[in-house]
Amino acid sequence: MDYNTFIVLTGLLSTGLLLGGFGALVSLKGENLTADVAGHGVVSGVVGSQGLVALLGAPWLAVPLLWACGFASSALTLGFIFWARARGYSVGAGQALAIAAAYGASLVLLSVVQGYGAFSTKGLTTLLLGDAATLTLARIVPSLLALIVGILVFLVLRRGLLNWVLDPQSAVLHGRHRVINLIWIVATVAVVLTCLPALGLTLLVGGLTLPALIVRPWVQGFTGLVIGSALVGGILSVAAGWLSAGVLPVPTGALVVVGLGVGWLTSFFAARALRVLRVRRAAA
Amino acid sequence: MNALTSLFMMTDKTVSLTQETALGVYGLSAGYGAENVVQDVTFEVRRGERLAIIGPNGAGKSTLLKAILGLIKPLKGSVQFLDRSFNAVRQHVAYVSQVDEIDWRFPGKVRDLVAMGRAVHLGLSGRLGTGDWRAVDRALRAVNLADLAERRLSDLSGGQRRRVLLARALAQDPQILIMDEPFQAIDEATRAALLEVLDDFQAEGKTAIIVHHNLGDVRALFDRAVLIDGGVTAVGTPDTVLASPAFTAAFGALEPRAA
Repeated sequence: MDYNTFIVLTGLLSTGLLLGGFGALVSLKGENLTADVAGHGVVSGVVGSQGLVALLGAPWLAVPLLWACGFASSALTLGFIFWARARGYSVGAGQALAIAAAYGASLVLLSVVQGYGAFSTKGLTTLLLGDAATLTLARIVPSLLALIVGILVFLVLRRGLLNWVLDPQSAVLHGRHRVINLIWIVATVAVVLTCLPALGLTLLVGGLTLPALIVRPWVQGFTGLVIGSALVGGILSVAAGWLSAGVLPVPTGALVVVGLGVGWLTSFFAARALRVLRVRRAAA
Repeated sequence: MNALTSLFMMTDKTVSLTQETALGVYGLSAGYGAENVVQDVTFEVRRGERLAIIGPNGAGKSTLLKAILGLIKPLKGSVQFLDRSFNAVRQHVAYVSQVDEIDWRFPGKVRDLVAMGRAVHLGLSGRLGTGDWRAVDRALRAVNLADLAERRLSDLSGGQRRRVLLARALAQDPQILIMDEPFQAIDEATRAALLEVLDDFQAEGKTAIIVHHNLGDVRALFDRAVLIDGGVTAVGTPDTVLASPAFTAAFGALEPRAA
């Protein structure tokens, strides 16, 4: 295996593990679209950062500004959902409002920045679809760091997270919701930002949602679901990356999500068949 | 309370549990948006008392409970538990909701859910010690669910779910138990278990505040009652409240019958 393939597969492994594990929490909270909103929130920050770089004439600021602005705009978008929810809007309405605001702001900003030639169409395509085949060490380091931090946070806060995911009202009564909401916003934005280079905005939700759906019929507990979902996400992402590198000449991100989709269908029908089998055995 | 305490909503460990007034609600108005559902509600609950909150459908009983617990922001007025704010004494106050927000298909076990009751006593990590697990097991035994501790949440019946939520509240070891229509849609076994738990709870000098729908057994089950119909319209012993003009105005000339 050459160095480039190794880097791509390592990047896909950390992306898959991160999305799978975090996606289990997101799915249990029924907030899969929140991560999608966070992804769309990134766009205006990324576009804005490119405009700022052009305005300041400081190309060396491009990468730090991109991360800072992407993080800030995404966190603001997520913060808006919590703000709307606290004012009586449903989760769906909050997500819809946030995504509309994120889309609108991104498009306006994009046309302004593109007017100055500071953001290329290729840059936008990469943001939307990702480009796993061109991952470099510098681009996978954030997701590796996020993975390590994520594992540590999960080990320390496992039961606190379980409580918060299982019954948010109880977390409010216990007075923990502010801190955990803050951790949740930072974690969502960090996961979305660090996984964008591999999967892009449009494929991210698939990577978040499908591993947990694949694993759910086969596990009984919370920890099993999170770990199982992370492993499925990691393994299927690496398999898709390996296929895409040597066998199937198709975009890696798309193959990851299609692979996860096939995995979900297989799991769904296998679980149903097994249930039918159990019922028949019980009847016999 | 300093800023750090306020951020992490820590409880005040110096609170006295021997206050005569367990709950004081003073001029409380609450609702959704700018619209009042309950207005200018004032009443007190004494320590060791079992109080029923009654009223017609849509009178604002559940809204009142949520406002008391800070789940919705009161439009005006104040609430004191044991002479302190709810933030200062939250570890002593347990709540069993009417329409619980729990996803019963969640991949977890009964013991996990009951253990959530201990969270308010623990740090952010929610890690339970031996004493906490003992409290969990005690609560499970109290509601006759010890045998189902390892059962999946998705495998529970409606009555068992009610008992699990009650066990979670008991695992908290609260001084004040607030429940929203716990007797609704339960079987006889669950009702008997619930009554036994409430009797034991009260025998320990603890306070129970319960939104109750069945007017027929208010006299038998409660020490006092508060009639809510947009605001407090009557308060006193069940006999006083059920015989009051406010009761007739709220329910018509209805003679309460036991279920």
